[in-house]
Amino acid sequence: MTVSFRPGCSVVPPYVLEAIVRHGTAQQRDWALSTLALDTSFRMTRAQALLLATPTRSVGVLPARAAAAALAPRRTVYDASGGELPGRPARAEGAGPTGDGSVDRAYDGLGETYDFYATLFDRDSIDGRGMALLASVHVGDHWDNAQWDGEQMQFGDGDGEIFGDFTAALDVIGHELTHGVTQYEAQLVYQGQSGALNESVSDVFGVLVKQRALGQSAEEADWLVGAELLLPGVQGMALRSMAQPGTAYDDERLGGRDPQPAHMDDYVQTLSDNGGVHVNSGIPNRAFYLAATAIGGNAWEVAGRVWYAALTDPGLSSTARFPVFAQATVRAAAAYEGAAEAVRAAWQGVGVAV
Amino acid sequence: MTEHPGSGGPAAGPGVRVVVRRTGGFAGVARVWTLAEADLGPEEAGRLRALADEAASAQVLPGDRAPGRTADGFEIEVVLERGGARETVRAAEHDAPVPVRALLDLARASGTRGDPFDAGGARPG
Repeated sequence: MTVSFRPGCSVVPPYVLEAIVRHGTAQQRDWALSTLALDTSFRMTRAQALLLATPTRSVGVLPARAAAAALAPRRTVYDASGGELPGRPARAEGAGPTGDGSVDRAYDGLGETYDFYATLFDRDSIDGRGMALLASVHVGDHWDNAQWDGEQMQFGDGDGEIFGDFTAALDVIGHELTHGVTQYEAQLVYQGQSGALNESVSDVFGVLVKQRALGQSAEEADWLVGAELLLPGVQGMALRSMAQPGTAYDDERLGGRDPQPAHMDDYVQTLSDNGGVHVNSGIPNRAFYLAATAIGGNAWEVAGRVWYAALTDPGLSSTARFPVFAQATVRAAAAYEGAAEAVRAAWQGVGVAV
Repeated sequence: MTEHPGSGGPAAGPGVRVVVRRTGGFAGVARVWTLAEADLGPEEAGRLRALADEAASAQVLPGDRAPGRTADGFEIEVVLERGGARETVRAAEHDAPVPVRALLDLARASGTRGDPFDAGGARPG
């Protein structure tokens, strides 16, 4: 199938097409559906091309690129306080600090995250091909969220009561950028167990970006996600604890106690939150923590490489459930002496058989 | 889906009542607010009635939502109680109909905070 006869298809974002499918006339719906189908096949072709262009994703192999040091980010941070997205360009690549803390934290956080992927995994940005890193800050009115919309990152200022500025936590910036990486790699479907894996992978690399920036070993790190988001007075340390899921907070305004399970025995069945993707991620989060602390040293050096190899394993299904992802990590860990046993024991520790 | 997150059954009078439930997001925390005509000033009550009518006619068909590519997005569920009838509208925040987003804004500004777990939400954990 060729896309050349309809050159406009790739510039219409999928969510617009999906809206047309839902709300358009029959004719518009037919067009949107066929464009979506083309877009999907185009993306699959691109994924295959990427695989061909990248002869090996194995860890421990010298980078295919001659000079990894030449990799450099292309960041633009937008100020969306005017209400529109992406907003007004506030800081482009190479420009100095603006004095707007949100703009500058986003710029620096994207830089740290880019450097993490480039240095450790020879990965050139979100798509592996130098994609521009776009982030909007001051999104919405007291918006208490950060999200990846399929093309860019968005950060709110928080509600001012429970949540502060979402750029305050480096692991949150790393988390959002990693959603982009997952979109171009395993494409883990955002529902149920594959969705919880999608979330967990973002938490894992988010905290690893922070640990590396702070120079903290697995033993020294706090393994908390979003600690800097909670305002004074909130009963909690953070939004999630990878070491002890279910213990991050206990505050009525957050619905009570942190609901994350730490073991498959407590897996939460729910229709909310795409089947509890932010809840059941506690299980693979703790598996990573157990693996990283068993291996010891800096978590990004071995455990992080193992998880990255699983995320970029071409054989990993987009609908992978916990055991399938676990098997991919155990396979990847075989490259490191003793790691496979630590990784296997970690998954068994959270009730996932491998 | 036919879950009814109304807290405390149908409104006693003929007044409009709207329960707004927001789930998902980076935090994955469920929040619920209730907007009742009786609790609002005349101006906001009028706005509530108008938005409830608009939201009802802007219904997103159940099960017709594409998952999209947004990660960490909020999901919004609005339960509209008007004249003894109850309707539910669900949408992802990023592509929610305008009146649904407006009801969320109104609820956050002027609604009564409800316990998500008394409101029929699936309690995680």
